[in-house]
Amino acid sequence: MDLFMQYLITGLTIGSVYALLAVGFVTIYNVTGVLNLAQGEFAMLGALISVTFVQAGLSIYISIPLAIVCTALIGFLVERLAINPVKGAKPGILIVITLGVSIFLKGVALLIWGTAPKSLPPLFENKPVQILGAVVNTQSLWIFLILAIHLVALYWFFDKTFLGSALRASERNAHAATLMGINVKNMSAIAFSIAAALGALAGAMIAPLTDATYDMGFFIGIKGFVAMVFGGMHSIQGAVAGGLLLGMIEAFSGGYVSTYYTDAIAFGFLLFVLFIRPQGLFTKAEGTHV
Amino acid sequence: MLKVHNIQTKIGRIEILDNLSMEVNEGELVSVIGANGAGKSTLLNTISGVYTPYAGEVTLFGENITKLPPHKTIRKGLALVPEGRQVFPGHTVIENLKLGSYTKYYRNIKHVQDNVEKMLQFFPNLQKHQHNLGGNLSGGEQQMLAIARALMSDPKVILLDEPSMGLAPKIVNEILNNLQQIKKEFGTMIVLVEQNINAALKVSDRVYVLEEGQFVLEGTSEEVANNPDVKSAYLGIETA
Repeated sequence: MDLFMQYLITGLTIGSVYALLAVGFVTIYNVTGVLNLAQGEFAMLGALISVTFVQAGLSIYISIPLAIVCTALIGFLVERLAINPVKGAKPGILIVITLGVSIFLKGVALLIWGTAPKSLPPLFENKPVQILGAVVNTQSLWIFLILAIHLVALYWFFDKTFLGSALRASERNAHAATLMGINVKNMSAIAFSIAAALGALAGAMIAPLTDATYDMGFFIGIKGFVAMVFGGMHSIQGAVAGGLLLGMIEAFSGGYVSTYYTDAIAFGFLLFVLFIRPQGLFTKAEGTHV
Repeated sequence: MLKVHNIQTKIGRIEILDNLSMEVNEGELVSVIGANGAGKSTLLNTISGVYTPYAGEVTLFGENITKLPPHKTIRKGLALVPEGRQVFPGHTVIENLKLGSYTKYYRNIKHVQDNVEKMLQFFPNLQKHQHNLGGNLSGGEQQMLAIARALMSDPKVILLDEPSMGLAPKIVNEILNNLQQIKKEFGTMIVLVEQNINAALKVSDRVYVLEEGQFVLEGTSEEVANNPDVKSAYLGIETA
């Protein structure tokens, strides 16, 4: 039982990192129709920019928010410079462009930060505590708490604010949104900024747990993408649930089976989901009248 | 008033609208009728800016709006109720209505809330379902929502693309009666595109008949209804 709790908390922590990335994927995919392959790079930038600010002598509590703002700005520029000028191109072309952006960002990061892994100092005092028999690092608990707060805030933003409502409308039906007077191109820039900020937050949260390197974006991006597919590509709640589920699968398979097989089991489950429910695990049937 | 002057629109390489001119005066409900593929939807989409004509002009109260995209024409007072209604299925009725006033929301929230109240009173069916999701409404209710949503921007003109599509005759009548009321109460000019010609003739002040991208006939509803060609081609009445 205590082991179970341990795996559960580990799974929720890493799962909420995936959830943030998946929400970023969903937001961009639905507003712009682009599958943004550079999403993982936003996490890398969030982590490495935080490291730079900390090395410059800033407190980590200032460094991380600053890094998130910087990455959001980079996301905005990516949309303006790389996506917006070719708006209307086929989705395949846009995806290749994001792949180019991903390689470009990775290259720039290599030049700036080099190949050596960097680490962020722990966010909070790291001492083990007991919860229901499980021994857990306070570090993981805090990280989970911060991510949970952001996920709730995100839900509030999309569900309760007018800008969130307009973004969801643009996601659902860009044509009808235009008819409402919404400039969908601006929404697309907002979507990229939000997704970049979420990626940066996710990156900065895992940097104290694992080291940050210029090429960390690829794998974490794939995980975020898998979480998005679990959730069904279209819904923010689905992406969150998908992220938590993926984190849990990894934690439990790592604990009960073997850490060697973690990724194999996670991706095997992805295939299983795609065979059984290609529309995603958490999509509810939604009728439209014709 | 809304003036369309000699517009020509191509979609891809195919010419859909060939030198069309029409005008809608204040206080008028004007219908454009015609068969499938005549270019009715293209006409509305050209007026609202979804398509840009390669020749000709669209003016609204003298202002040239020909090249404006739809998110700008709505700011000039022109709202399109698109084909197939296109309400936001995951948004509640009230959220749908508020999105209709996107252009005003940040400037005057109070006015938007008043408008929501006005629409809910005007469409009792929407009031009943105000907290339901747009996707869960019946087809007729979705059409009413789409019309109410367009009115939320206080438009001078609303353009309706086949509001009767897929609806029971009784509901069609209800919606067309709503349009006449809207004309009276809000003073909105209305352009109605319809395949349901009988219904359109009943409520319109004037009618244009569109065939293969050109107007072949224009007149008051009565004149058009009594035209022998219209009778035989569209109304199925044999004239000796």
